[in-house]
Amino acid sequence: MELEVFALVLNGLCNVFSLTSVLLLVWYNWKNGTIQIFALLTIFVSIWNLSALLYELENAALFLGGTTLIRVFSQLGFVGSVFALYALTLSLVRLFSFPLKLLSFFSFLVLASFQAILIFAASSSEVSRLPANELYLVIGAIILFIVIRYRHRIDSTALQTLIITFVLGQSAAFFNPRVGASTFSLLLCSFSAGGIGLALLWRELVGPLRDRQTQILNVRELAQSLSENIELDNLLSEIMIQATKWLKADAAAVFLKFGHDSYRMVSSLDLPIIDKEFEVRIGEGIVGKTMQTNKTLILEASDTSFKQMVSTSFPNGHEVFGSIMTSPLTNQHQVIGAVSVISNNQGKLFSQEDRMLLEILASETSIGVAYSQITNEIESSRHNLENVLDAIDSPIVTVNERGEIQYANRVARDLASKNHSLVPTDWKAASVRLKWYEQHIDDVYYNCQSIHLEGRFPPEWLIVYVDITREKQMSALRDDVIRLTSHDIKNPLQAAMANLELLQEDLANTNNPDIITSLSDLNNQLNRIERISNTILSSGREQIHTQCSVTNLLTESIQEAKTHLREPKHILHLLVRDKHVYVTGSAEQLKRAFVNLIDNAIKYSPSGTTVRVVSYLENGENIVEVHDEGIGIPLSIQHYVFRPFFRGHEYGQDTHSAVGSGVGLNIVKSVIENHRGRIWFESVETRGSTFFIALPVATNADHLENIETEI
Amino acid sequence: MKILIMDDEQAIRDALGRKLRREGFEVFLCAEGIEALRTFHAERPNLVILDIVIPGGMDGLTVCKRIREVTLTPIMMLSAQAVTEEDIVEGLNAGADEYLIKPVRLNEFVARIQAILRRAQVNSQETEVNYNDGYLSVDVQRRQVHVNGRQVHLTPTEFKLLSVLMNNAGRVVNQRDLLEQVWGREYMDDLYYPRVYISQLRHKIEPDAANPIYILTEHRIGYRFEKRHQKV
Repeated sequence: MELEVFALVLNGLCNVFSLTSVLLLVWYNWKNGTIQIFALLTIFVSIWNLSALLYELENAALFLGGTTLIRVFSQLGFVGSVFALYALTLSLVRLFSFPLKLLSFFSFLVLASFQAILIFAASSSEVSRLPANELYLVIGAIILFIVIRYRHRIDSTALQTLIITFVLGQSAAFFNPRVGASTFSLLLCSFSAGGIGLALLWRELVGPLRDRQTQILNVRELAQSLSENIELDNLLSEIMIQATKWLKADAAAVFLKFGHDSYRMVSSLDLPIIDKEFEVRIGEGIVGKTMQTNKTLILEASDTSFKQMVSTSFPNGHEVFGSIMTSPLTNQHQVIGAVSVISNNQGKLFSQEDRMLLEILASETSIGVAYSQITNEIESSRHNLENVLDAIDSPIVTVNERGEIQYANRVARDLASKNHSLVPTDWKAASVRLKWYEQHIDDVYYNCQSIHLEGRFPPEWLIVYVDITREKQMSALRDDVIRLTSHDIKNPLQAAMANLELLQEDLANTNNPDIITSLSDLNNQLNRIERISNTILSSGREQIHTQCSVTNLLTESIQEAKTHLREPKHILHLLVRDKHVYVTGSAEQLKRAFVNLIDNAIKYSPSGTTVRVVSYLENGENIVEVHDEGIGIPLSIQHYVFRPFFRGHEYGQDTHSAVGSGVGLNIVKSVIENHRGRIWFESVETRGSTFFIALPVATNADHLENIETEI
Repeated sequence: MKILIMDDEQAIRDALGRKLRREGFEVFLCAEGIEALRTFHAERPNLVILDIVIPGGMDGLTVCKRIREVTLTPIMMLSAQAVTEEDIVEGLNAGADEYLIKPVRLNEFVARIQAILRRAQVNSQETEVNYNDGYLSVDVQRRQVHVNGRQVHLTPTEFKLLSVLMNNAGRVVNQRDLLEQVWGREYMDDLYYPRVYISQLRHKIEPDAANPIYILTEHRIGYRFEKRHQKV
């Protein structure tokens, strides 16, 4: 009697403990299937306990409810807890295939109804229990088998032991119900239920909490190792080592997207070697599915799609894998690959906790992979760029603010190694003022242009050296040629002009109109030759140092162009929209260029039309338009207009109306380009042409008339 | 008035000579440098006109320098080859008083010749006071200049320039006034003339041409002669 009471109290305590566990667990996560089943188990154990309590109370004549109720409770508790334990075991090892569930449900139904019939049909409990005993033992054996067979899946020895204890406890009820074995059995089961509750609490609540610090340390360690491993292969090995360590997995693999729609395994740990070229389309296999859906997927051997899903991504993987979890790697919302952890068919099953861990790991991996890819890309494009720069025959350098060379290509390095100074101390001032400057290094003349490299800190400039030695030689040669040619032209010109003037004096009193016309024509033609030679000469000079008022230049140009007109048959119109604009250069050359354009406009347009000259500012440049209403330039020759010695056909019979210097637009163009300007035109045949000249505006505010200074 | 013309182009020589004869000058024509020097010494012309480039012979610049070594006779350069201002300055530095670029109109040619001759003439008639501070002494009547006791030779244009500046001692003479008074109205736009001649004058009379004490530059305005009261 005392033993009974003691057992009852102990049972009650165990029961309270397991109920408390249930409460905590359900409160923590009621959606978890294992917890729900455990709650069910606890309820059945409680009912069983209740029946024992009622039985004792009846014995002590404190309860008169009748034996049937006690028996119903007892049977319900016993049978229910057997099946609940069976379900719990399945749930723990996650053998939740549909046939197994169906089987257990039907056996529960059959057994329960059979028991119910027995209870109400006969009053002898000893007789009534016997036929079901074998079935209980069979179920108990199945539970034991599952627990032992899949012991790796229950990663807690305590849980395994307690389930076994529970089964043993229940089986004990059949050995000798008359010597208190039933009480012992109930005690063992209550104790086991309480223990299972504690173990589950530990597994679900305390364990993760206890592991959190380790996990944080792991994440930190991983982040650190990722930043240290720029080499992709090292990085991936490190990730897989960490993954298997964190998740207690047996193997791991990383897949990366290859091309547009397929993926390849790029690295693996403890996996049979797979052909590196093995490529699978995205969407196929568990890895492909993960990459397609951008979600973590878990598959276990019991899942129906396991074989097909696994073998597509891992040939023959389904034969050895027990469970696989795959998480996508993403970078800027784009899936770039996947990481998989695998346990073998004896190994553990992955929990929700594991899923979170893998996702953390995957995001770290994504950063690492993206960083590594970017670094590699930058490295390789840098390498390519340096190869290209080295292949260039001109020096190229980048410099910092102090003019110290940061990078030099091969030619620049060669020059620097010969102790040539590549960057003059005033390079910055020179490049800010003119955007380019000239430099003489190792008998080569360079035109240096410096470009500010955007987005660099500290700021850097790229300096490109263009070899202009040949141009310089050509220019010097041209100067010599011009010098000699002009000498050869000007001497006969002087003789002819002087003689003409003497002739004019001699014939001052003649009345013969033919003689007067001839003398006048001779004079005009000689003047024209003089203008041509002056234009050639001035284009050969390179003296650009004064600031010229655009208004003055254009006014004087128009004046000069007017003197070339024998009679004013054209209307010359000048409009200066932005006054007080100055350009830097040679007034003489610029005037020559403008006069040339105006002369051309007159020459190629009929009498009575207007030649319009407009000047205005646009984007820091002064634009001069010379517009005529003439014959225009045919499309077929527009291409040749700026070529040396090009001449269009002069307009009809009006050849006498204008005697332009006729040296061609080529020289005008070279004058404008010597002034850092641009020249272009728009022309419609029979409608007229407009020539545009854009010259950089002088920034210096010193617009005073340039008075000669000392030598 | 005798004028010597040296030019290798016969047509130019003849035409210029014809014009000058019409204007009443006595003209000597030479085709080449040695001949020109010989004629110069034989005839002692009032003005020499030289072409700069003489193929195969003594060039105009050399002839100019040779003449300058012995006399201050006005010299006019006539060149087809001047491309830059530097060419002109080089010619003036060789001692020429005038630099004309071909082709030149006959009327202008004659006007310039008359201006040079007028300059040389007027110089000899000036009656300004002499100057002497112990270092620099100028005798206007005798057209003699001594620097630190040694006689220096000034060309007519240099002397004219110095005397104009001295007449205006202490005052600034601007570039255009200087051009008008020294060279004549025809030269108003030839702003480089004063610059070149001031430089030459400084080299001849200043103790240190780089840091002048007599002929001072008023930046962007003109030049000023400063008298010194004691020996420098």
